[in-house]
Amino acid sequence: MKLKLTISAFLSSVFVYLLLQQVGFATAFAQFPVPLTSPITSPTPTPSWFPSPSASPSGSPSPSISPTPTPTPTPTPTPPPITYFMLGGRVTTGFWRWVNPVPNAKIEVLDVRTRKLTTVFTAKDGRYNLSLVPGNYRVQAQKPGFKLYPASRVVNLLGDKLNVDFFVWQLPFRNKAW
Amino acid sequence: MWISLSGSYLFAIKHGKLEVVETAIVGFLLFGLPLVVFPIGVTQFEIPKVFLAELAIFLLLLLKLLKLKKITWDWLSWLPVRLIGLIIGLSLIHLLFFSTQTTLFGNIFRLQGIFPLWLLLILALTSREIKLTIIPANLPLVVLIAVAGSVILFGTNSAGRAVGFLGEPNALAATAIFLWPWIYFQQPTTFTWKKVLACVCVIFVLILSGSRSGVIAFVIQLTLLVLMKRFTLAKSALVALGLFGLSLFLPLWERNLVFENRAEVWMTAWWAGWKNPILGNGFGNIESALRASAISLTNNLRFQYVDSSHNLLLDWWVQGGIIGVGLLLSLIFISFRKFIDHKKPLELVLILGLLTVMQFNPVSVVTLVGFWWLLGQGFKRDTPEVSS
Repeated sequence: MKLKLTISAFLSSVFVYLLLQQVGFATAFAQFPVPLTSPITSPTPTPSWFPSPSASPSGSPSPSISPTPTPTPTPTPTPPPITYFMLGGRVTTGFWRWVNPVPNAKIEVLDVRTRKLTTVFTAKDGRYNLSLVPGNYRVQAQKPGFKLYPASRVVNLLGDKLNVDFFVWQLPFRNKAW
Repeated sequence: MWISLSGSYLFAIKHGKLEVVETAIVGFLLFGLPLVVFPIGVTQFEIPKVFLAELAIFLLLLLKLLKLKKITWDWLSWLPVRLIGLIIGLSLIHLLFFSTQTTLFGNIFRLQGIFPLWLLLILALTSREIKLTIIPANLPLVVLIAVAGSVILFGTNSAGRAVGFLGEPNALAATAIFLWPWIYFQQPTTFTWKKVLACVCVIFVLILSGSRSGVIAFVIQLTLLVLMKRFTLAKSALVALGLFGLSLFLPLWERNLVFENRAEVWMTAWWAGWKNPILGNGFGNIESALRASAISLTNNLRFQYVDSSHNLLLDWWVQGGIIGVGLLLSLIFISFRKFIDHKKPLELVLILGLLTVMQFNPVSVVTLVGFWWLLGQGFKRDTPEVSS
């Protein structure tokens, strides 16, 4: 009996130690969200309805570059620092805390004043982040085959960080796997 | 909850009701585990299931220890124990010489490293003699209906496939494949509404999860059931095994999928195993081994996150080398033969279904628990009545 209890106590100690280690291992990574400082941004295209003045006519040859003497640098006044604010959020499906992230959802952010369009894609955990100058923006999310809510939102980015989340609801009747 | 659980546990030990507790624990592992969803770790679906499964298996081990009247060593001469001992020895070698960050616990999404493997091996050994007689007959049906209902509750993943309680479509299909034969074999000769309901639930889950491997497994199970009515169990099992073997060629006809193409993943895993063909790359190290192999093969897998070779045997080939695969195949062969010799159609249908889904997909802890419990059923010692 004594031997049994000793073995049981020893095994229990080892098991509890390993289990706690495992809990720590599994939860440690969940504590750190995706850093806000590394948004996955694509080159900012101009919307088709807003022709860019700098666009050159297609097919025109590019001007040849001739060697020019280097001009002497002249002191220029330093521009005032531009303040960037964070616009971020998450695209998810599910409800309450049982949510599934929706990766690779396309987030389009249109500057209402300048008509400049910025596109990002959500990461594996469904999050997206952008650094933007203060202003009014229209934010909309797209994911082929999904209906996202809200369809689009106009937000006023004035604070340090603004959260715009999108939610997906789709009954599983359209399987792409088939 | 924990206080009441531990209280009932101590009460049962004190009053000699250990069998009841053992059965309840195995019943929970087989039928309760798929329903566990709790927000902990990186995924609320898989991680809590792993923790609870480990805890339950360890309680089972403790009960076995407390039940022992005398500690003897004669069980060491028993073949399955020796094979499992060799697997544990192999894993210890991996732990000592192939250790990485994921060797002991696995990666954070699945937690399928050496520690859970040891507990699954313990489950196979400790659960073999536990009878599930006190488990309510309708429990598998209730769980299957709940699993089917969870398809609506939890919506879909980013590919539009239902995930249910399992959080992953193929794991969901595997759970349904594991549950429905229990309902069929309650009254195998008569037609009941429960069987119809079970089949409807399985088909519902298979369609909405979009699991092709689940469909193949279901077809193989049905084929076995039909053949069993006309032929002997051994012949039927051989035909079903033939179908199972043929199904392994299906990925060759797969459409040109870029993401997780089975043929590509299998090829990558095959070459990953050749890096260390005797001992393997180490249990729990499959992710890094596959990545290294994909980089050397310069295929699409370099740009994807793949933590499984989508095939049970290839998983063991990559992780345990030829020794690991040999040991696993030996254990499967022992159990399979026992099921045929002792005429265990339920176990045969279950293991064929699970083996099929495990040949095409990464596995959930729920599937692993069912699989190792089934292998354990094949380790039962021959009783005098049966052997005579």
